[in-house]
Amino acid sequence: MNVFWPWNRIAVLVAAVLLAVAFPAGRLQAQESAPPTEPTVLSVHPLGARAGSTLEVEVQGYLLEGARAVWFEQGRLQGRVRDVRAVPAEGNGDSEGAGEDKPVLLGVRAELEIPSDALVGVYRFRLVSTHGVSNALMFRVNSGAVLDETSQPHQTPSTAQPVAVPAVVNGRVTHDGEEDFYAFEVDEARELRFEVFCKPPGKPPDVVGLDPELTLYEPTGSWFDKERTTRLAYNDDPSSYHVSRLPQLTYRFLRKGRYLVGVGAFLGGGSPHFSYQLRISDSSAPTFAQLDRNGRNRVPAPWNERAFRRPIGSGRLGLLRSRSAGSNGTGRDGPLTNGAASSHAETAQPVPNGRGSPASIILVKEQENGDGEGNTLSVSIPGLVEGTIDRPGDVDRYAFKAERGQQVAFEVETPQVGPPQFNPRFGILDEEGRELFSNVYKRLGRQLTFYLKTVEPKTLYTFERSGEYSLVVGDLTRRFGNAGFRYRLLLRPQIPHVGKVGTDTDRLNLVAGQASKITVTTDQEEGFSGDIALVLEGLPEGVEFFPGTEVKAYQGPVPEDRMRLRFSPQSESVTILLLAGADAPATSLPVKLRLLARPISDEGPGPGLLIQEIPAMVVRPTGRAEES
Amino acid sequence: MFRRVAPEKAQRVRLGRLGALTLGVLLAGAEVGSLLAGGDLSDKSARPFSFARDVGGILTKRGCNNQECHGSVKGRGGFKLSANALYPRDDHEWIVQGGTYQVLSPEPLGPRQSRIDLKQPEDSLLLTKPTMQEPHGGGERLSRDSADYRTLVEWIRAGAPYGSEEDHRAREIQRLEVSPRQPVMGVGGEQQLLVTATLAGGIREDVTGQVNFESNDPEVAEVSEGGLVRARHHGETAVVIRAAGRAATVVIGVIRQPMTDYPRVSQRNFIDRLVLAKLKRLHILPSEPSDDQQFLRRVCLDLTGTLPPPERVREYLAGDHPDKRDRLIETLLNSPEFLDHWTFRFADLFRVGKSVQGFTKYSRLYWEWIRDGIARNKPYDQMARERIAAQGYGGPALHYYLIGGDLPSPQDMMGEQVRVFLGRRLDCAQCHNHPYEPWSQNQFWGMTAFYGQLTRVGDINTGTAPYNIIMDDPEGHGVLGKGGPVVHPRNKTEVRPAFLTGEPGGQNGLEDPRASLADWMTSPDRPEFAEAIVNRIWGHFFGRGIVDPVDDFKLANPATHPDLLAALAEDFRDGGYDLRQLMRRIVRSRVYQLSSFPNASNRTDRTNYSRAHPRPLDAEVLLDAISQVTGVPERFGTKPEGTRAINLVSSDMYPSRFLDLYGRPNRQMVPQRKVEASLGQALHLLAGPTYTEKLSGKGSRIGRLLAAGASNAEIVEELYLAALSRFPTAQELGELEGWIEGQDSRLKAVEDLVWALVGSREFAYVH
Repeated sequence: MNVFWPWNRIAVLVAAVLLAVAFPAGRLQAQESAPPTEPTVLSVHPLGARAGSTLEVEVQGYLLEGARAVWFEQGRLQGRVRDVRAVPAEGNGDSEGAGEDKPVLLGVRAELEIPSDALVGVYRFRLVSTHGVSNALMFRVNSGAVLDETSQPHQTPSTAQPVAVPAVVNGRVTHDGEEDFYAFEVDEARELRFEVFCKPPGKPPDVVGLDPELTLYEPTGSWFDKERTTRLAYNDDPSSYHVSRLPQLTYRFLRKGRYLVGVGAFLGGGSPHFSYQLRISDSSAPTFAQLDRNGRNRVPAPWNERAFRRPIGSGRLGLLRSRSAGSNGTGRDGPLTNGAASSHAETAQPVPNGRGSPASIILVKEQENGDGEGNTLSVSIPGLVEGTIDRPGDVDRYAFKAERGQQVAFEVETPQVGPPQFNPRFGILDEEGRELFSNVYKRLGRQLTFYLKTVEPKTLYTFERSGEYSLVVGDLTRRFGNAGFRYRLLLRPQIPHVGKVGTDTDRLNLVAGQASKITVTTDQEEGFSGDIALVLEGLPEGVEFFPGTEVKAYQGPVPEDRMRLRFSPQSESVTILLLAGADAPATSLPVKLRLLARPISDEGPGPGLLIQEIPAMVVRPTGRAEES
Repeated sequence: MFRRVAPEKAQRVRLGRLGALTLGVLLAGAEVGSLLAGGDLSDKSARPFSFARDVGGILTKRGCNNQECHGSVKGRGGFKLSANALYPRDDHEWIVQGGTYQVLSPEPLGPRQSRIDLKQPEDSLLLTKPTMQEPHGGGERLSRDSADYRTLVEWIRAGAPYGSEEDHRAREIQRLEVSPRQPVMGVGGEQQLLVTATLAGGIREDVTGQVNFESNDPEVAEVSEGGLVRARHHGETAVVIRAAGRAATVVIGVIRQPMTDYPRVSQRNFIDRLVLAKLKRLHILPSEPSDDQQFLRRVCLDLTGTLPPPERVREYLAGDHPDKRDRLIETLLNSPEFLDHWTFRFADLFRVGKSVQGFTKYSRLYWEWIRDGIARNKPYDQMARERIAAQGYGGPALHYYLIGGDLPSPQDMMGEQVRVFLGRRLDCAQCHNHPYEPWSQNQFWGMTAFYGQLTRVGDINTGTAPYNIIMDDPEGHGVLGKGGPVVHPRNKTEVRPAFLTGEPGGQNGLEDPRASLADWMTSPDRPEFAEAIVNRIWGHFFGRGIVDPVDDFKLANPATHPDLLAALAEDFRDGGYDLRQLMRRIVRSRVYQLSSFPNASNRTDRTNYSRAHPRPLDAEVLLDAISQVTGVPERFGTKPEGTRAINLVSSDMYPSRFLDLYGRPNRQMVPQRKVEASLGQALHLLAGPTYTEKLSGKGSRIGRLLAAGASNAEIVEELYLAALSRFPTAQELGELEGWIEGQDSRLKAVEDLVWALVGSREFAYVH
C-alpha cells in the first residue's frame, strides 16, 4: 500500500527509516505485564443512575493523582471531582499487591449530574489527572428508579434483599465467593428477564472486570435443609469461551410466589471493582442491548463489514462506493423496488465527496409453503434475499444468473440470532448441482495437522462461466432452526473500497519532548488497489506527526492459503509517530484528535472517512501537567 | 439308565451320548426309575462340508485358536488363527497358503510356506506340531488315533478345500444353548453339560463333543474336555463354551449344603422375585430387612449423596407410618439434593472438566446440559442421542472439544460412546480382531467411521470466531491421518460407517452419520443400550453390577442374573427410559433394603445380593459428609462458602489432597472409581486438615453444641445422629459420657470424639 500524506495537513513527511532508528519500535510498545504508565481507571461504583439525578460515584484506578475532571465523550452528563484518596491495600482488589514500580491504587470521588432529559443508555467517560486522560469507563443512564444494594448482608438466600419488579439495582461483588441475593414476588405465568450490565475484563493493564453469572432460585427448602433453594435457571449465553458480556436469562414462572436471583462472578471471584447493575423486567421490555443499540446517544460502531450483525440495507451499495476512490460519497442507493424498505441504519460516516451512481437492489423474500418446502425464487444481481431457517433441516433455494468473469460479493447478515447459535451457510451450485463454493473458509492451521474452518459473513467469487446458478442457504449443522434464524443475503457486484480501519490506541497522553506511536491497520476490500491517505486533525499545539515503520517479530511459516482473498481483505499496517515538542504546552483537558482515511486512485480522491476520535493531551515529563 | 431302542443302528456311549453308525431313523429313550423319555435322533441327510465347522471346530475345541495360543493378537510362532474360528476365510488362507501374520498389514511377513502337505498329508505342519512329532510350544493337542486327527488328514487329502459358501452357511452355528442352564450342585457333585447348536434353518445339533470348555474359576468348579463339571468349593463361576464362531457361558452354582425347608420370603417387585429365586436355587437365605436407621442412611446417601440431619433422623426413626420408607424415597427423589447428586454422577460418567473440555465455559455449558436433563427427568435415550449425535454450540456438542483446540481421535470418541452407552469395550479391536470377543477390526473401524466427519468450525486461536461449532463435515477435520476419511490401518482403504451388525449407517454414509449411529445405539430393538445403564445404576446401589465391571459386558464376563438384567432393561425401556423410575424400582425392592448383617448361609456370598455389602463413599460425598458433620464447610478456591464437592462443575480446577487420596478421577477417560484404603488416607486421617482443622473450626457443630450448653449425653447423641444416622447404644453412650468427663479439656474430648466418628469405617461406608 502506498500512503499519501496530503500537503495541507499539519504533518510533515519524514523518512520513515530515520525515525525508526530514532525511536525503536520495541521501546515504545507497552509491555503486557508492565504497570500502567498512563491514567488507568478500573471501575466505577455505582455503575448507573436514573436520568435527572445527581449522585456520587467512586472511580478507582492508577495514576489518578491530581484528578481534576470527569470527561464524558458524548451527551450532556456532567461530572465534578470531589477528592482523591489512596485505597487501603486491604480489600482493594489488587491481588498482586503493591510493587516497587507499581503505582498506588487511588479512589476518586466525583459527583455526576444527569440531566432529566438524558437519553437512556451507556455513556463513556474518562478521568483527567496530572498524568493525562484515562481509558474509558461506562456509565448507564436508566429511565426508572435505580436501587442500591443494601449495606446489610444479603449473600445468602435467607438474607436476600427484597426488590419490587421491575427493578434496577446497583451492586458489587466485593469478596471471593460472594453471591448477592435479591428476592422478589411474582405472579403465576409471568415471564421476566434478568440482565446484568458491568465492565468486563479488558486488555492489560485494564484487566480487571467482572465476568458475571446470574442464577435464579426458588426458596423451596428441602427435607435436608429448610433453607435450601432450588436452582431454576442459569444465564445460558456464554457465547464465547471467555466472558459473558451481557448475561441474561428469561424465565416464565409457573407459580406465584417469592423467588431469588443471585448475582456472582463466574468461578466465584470477587473484587471491589466488580460493580454491576442488575435489571429485572418483563420479558417484553427491550433488553439492555436493544436499548443501547437503539439509543440515539450511542457512539457509532466502527465500520466492520465482516460481522454477521452488521446491517445490510438498501443503502449498502452506496455505502461501499462512498468508501472507494472517486465516489460521490452519498451513501444512498435507489429504493428497494418492491417497496419493502429496510429499517437498518448504517453506521459508516462518509463525508460526501466524489462521484457514484445509485443502483437498485431487488428484494426477494423467501416464503415457505404449508409443508415447509420453499419455492426456488429468482434473484438478480444486485439483489437482496431475506429468509428464515425456521426449522431444523430447512434449506432455502434461490436462482440467479451470472456472466462469465462477473465478480460478485455475497454478504450475509443475521439480524436476530447469529453465530454460534445460527450459523448461516450458503453455497453456490452450478446448473449440474455441483457446489462451486460456499462461505465456509477452510485453511490449514499453523501446526498443519488440522483444518481451521469458519463460517464467513462475506465471500467473493468470480464466475468462470455464464449461466444460471443456485444459491442455497441453511444452517451449518442442519440440526437447528426457528423463527429467530433470520438472514439477509446480498448478492452484488464487487466494489473495490476501503474496509475496516483501526488503531491500537484509545487515547494519547503525549509527553512533552517524547514520541508516541499509533499503529493504523487498513483493510483493502474487493481488489481496492488505490492509496489510502491517513489524516490526523486537531493535534494540540506543539505536536507533530510522522510516518514510521515497525519490524514485526517473525511468527513462523504461514501455511499456503489460496482461498484467503475470497474471505479476507488485503491488510496493511502503518505506524504514525507523534512527537510532542519539549516546549509543547500542556493541556488541561483532552482534545479530540480526528483520524480520517481517504481512498485515492486514478479516478481521484474519495471521501474522508472518519476512523476514530482519539482523546489526546500533552503532559509534562514528570507527570505534573501545567494548567494552560 | 439309557437303552438303545434300535441297537443295530446306534452304539451306546458313556453318559448317554449316542453316535450314529449308519444313516437312518433312530428312536432312543432314557429310563430313570419308572420314567422313560424318548426322542427322534434322525440324521436326515448327509452333512455338507464346512471348513469353518469341520476344521475350525477342531481348532477351537483343541484350544489351538484361543487367545493364549494362535488366536492371540499376533498369533504364535508366526502362525495366526482367528479366535474361535471367527474368520474362517482368513484361517484357511494362513493354513493353506502359509505365511507370517502382520498386525498393520494384510500382507504376510516373508515368503509363504503352506502348513499342509497335499502329497503327504500326515507330514503337514498342521498335524506334526500338535501331535508333537515336531517341537510345539503348545504341547500335545491332538493324538494320532483321534477322530479329529483323522478328519484333518482326510481334509488335506481331499485337497484342503474351503467348501462352498452355501455349505458354510448351512452349517454355520447361529446359537449355542447349554443344558442345564443354571446348574447348582453340592461340593463334590458332578454335572454333565449338554451343548446344542442351532444351525441355519433351525436344525439343532448336539455339539457337546465339538466344543471347548473352560471354567473361569476352577477353584469353584472345574470342567473336563468333554463338559463334565466337578464342583470343588462353595461359590459361583462361569464356564465358557466355545464352538467354531460362537461362544456361550453357563453359570455354575456350588452350594455348601442343601436347604430342605427354604422359607418363603416376601417380595415387593420383580427384582425381589428374580433375585430371591436365584438365592433359593443356590440355597442361600437373604439377610433380614435392614432396620430403619440402616435404611435411612443408605437411601439418603445413595439417592442424594447427603447424610440425613439429626432432627430428620429422630423424626424418621420415631415415625410409625407403614409406608414411611416409600414416602421417604419419593421425598428424596424429588429433592434438590437428588439433582445435585445425580448431576455429579453423570458429570463423572460423561467427563466434565476444565482439563477435558479445555475451557471452563465449555465445561459449564456441558454441566448445565447434564443438570437440566436430570432436573427435567429427560428420558435417558434422549440424553444419549443428544450426546452421541451432538452438533452446534452447546454442552453436549462441546464435550467433543479437546483442550488445545483439536478434537479427539474418531476411534477414541467412538470407543467412549460405546463404552458409556452400550457397556462394551471395543478398544482391543482397534489394532486387530478382538482376541476374546466377537468384535473384528473391521467392525471397530466401521463404527469409528461414524466420527470421521466430525469437525469443529470456528477458530478460537485466531479470534476470527471466538467459539467452536461442532458438526459433521464430509471433508472432515484433520490432515496427516487425523480425522477426515477414516482409513483402515491394515488394508489402508477408506472405511464407510457401519454398525456393529455390519449394516451401513448414515445417509449415503455422508450426511449426519452420527444421528444414525445415535438412533441405532438407542434403538428399543437393541437390548444392550438399556442393559448398560440399568446395570450401571444397579452397580451404584449395590456396589457391584449384575455385570461387573459395569461397562465390561463380554462373553467371558457374564451377568450373574441375566433374567434380572433383562427384566430391568425391559422395565426401563417400557417406562420411557425414566432414570428416577428405575431408581425407585431398585430402592423400593426388598433386595435393596436388606440388612448388611450376614446369616450363616450368605456370609461368603458376594454376587447374589443376599445382603447389603458395605460400600465406601466416593471422595466427594465423603468430604461433603465430613463438612456436614463438623459443620465446617470445605473451601474450594473462590467458590462461595458452603459449595459442596459434588457441586463443583470442573472439580479438576480445585486441588484437594483429600479428594485425590480418596479416588477422585481426573475424568481424562471414563472414570472407574475403585476406592481402596491406602497409607495416604491413614496419614491424612491422622494429620490431614480435613480431619483436624474442621473439628472445631469457626461455626462448627461442636462450637454450637457447647455454646448452647448441651450436656455430654446430648452432645454424644447429636454427633452419632449426625455422623452415623443412629442413636448411640446405651453402652456407647455410657462409656463416652464417662470418657468425656474424665478428660481435662471438654472441647478437646468432643473434638476427639468427632475425629473418631468421621474416621470410622461405619461413617465412611454406606452399609
